[in-house]
Amino acid sequence: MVNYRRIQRLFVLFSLMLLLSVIVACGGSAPAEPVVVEKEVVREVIKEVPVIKEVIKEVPKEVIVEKEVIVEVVKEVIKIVAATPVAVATGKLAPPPAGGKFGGELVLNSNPGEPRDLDFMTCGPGSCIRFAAPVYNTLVRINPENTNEIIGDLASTWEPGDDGLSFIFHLREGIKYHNGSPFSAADVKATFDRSLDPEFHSTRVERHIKSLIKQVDIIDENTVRIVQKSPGLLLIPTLASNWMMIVSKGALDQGAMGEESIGTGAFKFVKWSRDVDVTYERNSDYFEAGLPFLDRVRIIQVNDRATLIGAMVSDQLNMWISTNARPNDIERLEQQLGDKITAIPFPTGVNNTFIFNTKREPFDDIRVRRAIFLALDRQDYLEKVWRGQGIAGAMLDPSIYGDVALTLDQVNQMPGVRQPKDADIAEAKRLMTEAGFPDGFTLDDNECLGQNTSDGRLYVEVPIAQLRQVLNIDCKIVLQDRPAVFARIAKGDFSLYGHGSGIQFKDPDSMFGLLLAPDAGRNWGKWEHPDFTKMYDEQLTSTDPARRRELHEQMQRFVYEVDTGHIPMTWRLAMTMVRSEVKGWHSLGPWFDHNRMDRVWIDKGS
Amino acid sequence: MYRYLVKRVLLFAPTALIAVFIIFLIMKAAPGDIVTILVYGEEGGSGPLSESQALEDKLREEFGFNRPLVVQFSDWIKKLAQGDLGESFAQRGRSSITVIGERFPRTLELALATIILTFVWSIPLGVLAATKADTWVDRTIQVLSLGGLSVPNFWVATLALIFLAQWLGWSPPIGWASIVDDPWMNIKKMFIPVLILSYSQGAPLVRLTRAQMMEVLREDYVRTARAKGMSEAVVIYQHALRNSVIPIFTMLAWDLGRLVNGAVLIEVIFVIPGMGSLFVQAIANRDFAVIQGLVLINVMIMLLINLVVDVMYGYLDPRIRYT
Amino acid sequence: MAIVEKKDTLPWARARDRLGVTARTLGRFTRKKPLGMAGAVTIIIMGVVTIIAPLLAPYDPLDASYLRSLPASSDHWLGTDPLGRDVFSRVIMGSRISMYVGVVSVLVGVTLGAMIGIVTGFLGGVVDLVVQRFVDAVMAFPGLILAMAIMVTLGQSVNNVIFAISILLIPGGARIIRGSVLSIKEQTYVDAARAVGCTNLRIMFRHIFPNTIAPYIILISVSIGGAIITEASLSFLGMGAPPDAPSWGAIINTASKELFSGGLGLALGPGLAIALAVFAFNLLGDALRDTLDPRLRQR
Repeated sequence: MVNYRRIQRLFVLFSLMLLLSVIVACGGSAPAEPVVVEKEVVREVIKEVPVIKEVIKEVPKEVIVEKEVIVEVVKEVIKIVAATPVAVATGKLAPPPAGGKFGGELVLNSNPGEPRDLDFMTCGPGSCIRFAAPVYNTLVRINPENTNEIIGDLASTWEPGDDGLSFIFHLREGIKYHNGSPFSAADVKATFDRSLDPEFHSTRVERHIKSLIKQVDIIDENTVRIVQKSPGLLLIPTLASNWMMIVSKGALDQGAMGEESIGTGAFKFVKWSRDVDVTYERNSDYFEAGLPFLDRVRIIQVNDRATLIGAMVSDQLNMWISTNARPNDIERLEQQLGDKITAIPFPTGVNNTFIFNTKREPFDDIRVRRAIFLALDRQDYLEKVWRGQGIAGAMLDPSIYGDVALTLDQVNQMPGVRQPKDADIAEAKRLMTEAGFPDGFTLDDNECLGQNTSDGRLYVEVPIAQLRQVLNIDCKIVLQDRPAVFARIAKGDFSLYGHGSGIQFKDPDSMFGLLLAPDAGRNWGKWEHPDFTKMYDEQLTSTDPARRRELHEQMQRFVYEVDTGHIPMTWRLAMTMVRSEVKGWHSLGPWFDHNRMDRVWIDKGS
Repeated sequence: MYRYLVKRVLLFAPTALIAVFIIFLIMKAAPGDIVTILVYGEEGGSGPLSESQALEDKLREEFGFNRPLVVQFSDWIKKLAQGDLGESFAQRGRSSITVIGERFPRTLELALATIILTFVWSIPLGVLAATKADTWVDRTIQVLSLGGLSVPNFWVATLALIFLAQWLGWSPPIGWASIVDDPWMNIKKMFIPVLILSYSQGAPLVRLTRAQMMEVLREDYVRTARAKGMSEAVVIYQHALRNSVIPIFTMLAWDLGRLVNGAVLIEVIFVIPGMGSLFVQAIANRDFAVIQGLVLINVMIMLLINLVVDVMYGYLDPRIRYT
Repeated sequence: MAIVEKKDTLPWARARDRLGVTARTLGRFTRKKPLGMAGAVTIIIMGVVTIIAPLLAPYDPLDASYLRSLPASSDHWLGTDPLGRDVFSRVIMGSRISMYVGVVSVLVGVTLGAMIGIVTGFLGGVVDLVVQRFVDAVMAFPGLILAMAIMVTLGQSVNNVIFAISILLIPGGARIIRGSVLSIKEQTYVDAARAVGCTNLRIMFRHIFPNTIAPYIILISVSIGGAIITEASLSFLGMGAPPDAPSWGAIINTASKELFSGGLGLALGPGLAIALAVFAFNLLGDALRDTLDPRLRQR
């Protein structure tokens, strides 16, 4: 829980630091590159000259006027590479890529699911925003040509507010919705207000908006202020995610969010043929001049791998963003199509974990949990489940989380992950004996659960096979379909479960807060450990980015060295198969950020 | 006659409702439901776990799942009486009539095309086998038709797709276009499924035709017709076939009914968004309104076809009269 | 009546006689219906294979070494599936599921249906009317869908598949047996039995039941083929036997997912097995139908 009083004091300090360091470092005009600094903690005692700057804005809040203050500031200089760019806006839009040609239709498949309706804000599965992505914009976005940078989308510039908690966004002018109505700050406020409404429920958007944002204020028609609940660096990266698309106030008022998709984006929504496809056409009034290139985009809702391969080979599909294509599918495509196709790998943010139910014997015994943790072979799992396409054993994927994550070298030294496994296995056996199971144990029927899909069942079958062999732990595996599995794990009616899911935002909280925190949404094993909880609570409310990072590192180590409720097994690397005539697509990281297509073009000549 | 008709039609309703009630009970007993899907979502819920239970309860209350089963079912019947089959869970905001109605023409197209094709090739083959009884022609046809009965159509479909993919590099188009919107694409998509379905529908029909014809060809009146000097073609088609038409017609009608119900496997393999594949999805989503709507429609179609067939029996065969 | 010599009543003489009679009947059957005999022999061979399957399969069908899909070779006669399991072993072991389910579900379903048919056909009246509505309802159901719904509810196991398929077969059994009961009921000897004072139960057992044996046997033999295909269909959709089990339908499903890289053995093996089994049962069923009761040929 957030304690405003305690933090406010610290935060005034912090906001001064931030303000000063920005001004000192940048000399007034915003840089186009992220703040990249060294990793060493440099202790500098700086005597600051007070900045007397009257901040005059038409804000009905207190105006912070800095007076003569001499502050001894310990400047911790932190290295942030990738992940959390804090760049302040350029004001300019990134120019359209050179060589873009107009015209053509992009036919793509992007790991489909059918959402219930067009209202992506109330939706849970990632399929919802894949539908909506071409149609809407966010306030800020990840720069497609430099994924370390966040640039403006609907907002042209932004700066931190003076209360230390808010950010002020200056919106571009002249943007119109697809139905002609103008875009303004009111739309931004309406969008966020909907999510902030206590009666509003969404399994995705809500969690991050409600915990992060306190309120949104309209300053004027083109200026909006977003006030966070607590100071921190999460707001901008969060807003850059596709989940934070801005909808039209008019549409919200009409209550037609489910049936219509009206946005400001590069493409206009045309038609959704359920279970068949979704079509979009170019928005010729798009605010970014010279974009988009494509005339039409069509997203095909087919899930069957064999059909998709056939479609790519027969030129019915030009792009396949897939998280379930196998290496031999890719090989086959490359064989058939040779030069005409490129496979672009990207980290999906999809990870697999193995869960125990700590409320059931013998998994309530930390030694048994530890033994299993040490005994499982992540590399073997990666090979068998994903044919080696991904990384094994990491709690946080460094290519997504950047420097916060332990490096792969570090991960590979950790207990449980390191190879060869002899020492860990010996220790595991010792722990089992100590816990009273020198010869392993067999669970009753029906306790090891998995989904009955061809991938889902490997998540549980492979670890159990390993445990059977190494520790003599045996279990009869039960596979059921999705609703049945969810019903059971929600009730805690399982002992072991092979889990797979995707992250939502590029912050470690998207793993810790989702899987391991005491009341976390996916902590189905109800795992808790007081030391971990202490660290978790602290990082949640910490205002000190350095301290937060330190805690994140400690928490990762905790998972490897002490105990955990979810054993991290793999992070999946997936492939986008692109035909050579499609240009301009870039992987942006977590895969739900991929569907905008505003900078993609088709060049049949190449 | 009319009394018989009325009696049969009156029996439609209870039979159909019993069928729907059966599926309703079965699906209610199934583990997991739309609420678990909504709360835990495609990738599990994000909110605090302790709140999930409250959310589940709230949603269950909204959907009315906490009421006794009989009440829920009778509610459905009441809505049915007003022409409302309920709202789909998986496709929010759409009534199940809309959802099913969208799919119906596609399955109907598949069914009609198959029946017509089957009719065209299987009856002449059966006649041929009967007229050339006990020759190698007959034996070949018999074996082929028995093969058609014995071979699962999804296997033939798989083999066909493998052959086409690996040896010809061809695969059926993805997506869907109705025969009206894009006839060429529609044909490309449908012709293999129709061929395969037609083979498995046609095989028993060939055998039946052959059996019927053979019986009829032994009859006296056929001998008479031949003695009178009528050409073989007339003998076969005008006399013999007409008298064998009843069971053939019965089987065709029965097949049409079954096909309209959605050739589930074929629709799934060829990714045809028809009623059969809707069924599979609706069961996976525990989408009660759609499942019950589909069952109701399917059962009514079958009953109707049965009735039509029985009536035609009575009409065509003067020996059969219904009291 | 000839004086029966003591020797003729000795058990082994009786047995020898019986054997002779059986042999002669079989011989006649073979001559008249060679195809049917061929079917029967095939079934027996497949039955034996089913029973000794674990001895015949060179590899463990579940041993997923997760290698690629390999083509047919001398090591793997039908190649391996994408998870590295030997296809030949899986097909052989699959008979233990597919054949077993096919036969048992028909025995259970048709028998239950026949019992219902006898009772309702004989008793008539309200009982008949009500039960027939249920029978009609289940019959009008798209069969595969009902089986799928049952499997989703009960969970995937071989016994549940048997249960689901039996349910589908009950109406057919009830209808046909009821039909023949109705016609038998009209016979004079039933009236005579009643006149003599036999109870309903006795009439059912002694008079009606024996005359339904012929249609019953025919129905069983012609239904098994369909039951095998239904089981394969369920497994193909992933709703039949547990996902890993080498049911023939499940193997075909794997083949259908690997259209481009799957070996031919993967697609042909299980399908030929199904075709062979169903073909054999159909041949036998046809032959039985012709011999036992020509009256019941489809009209």
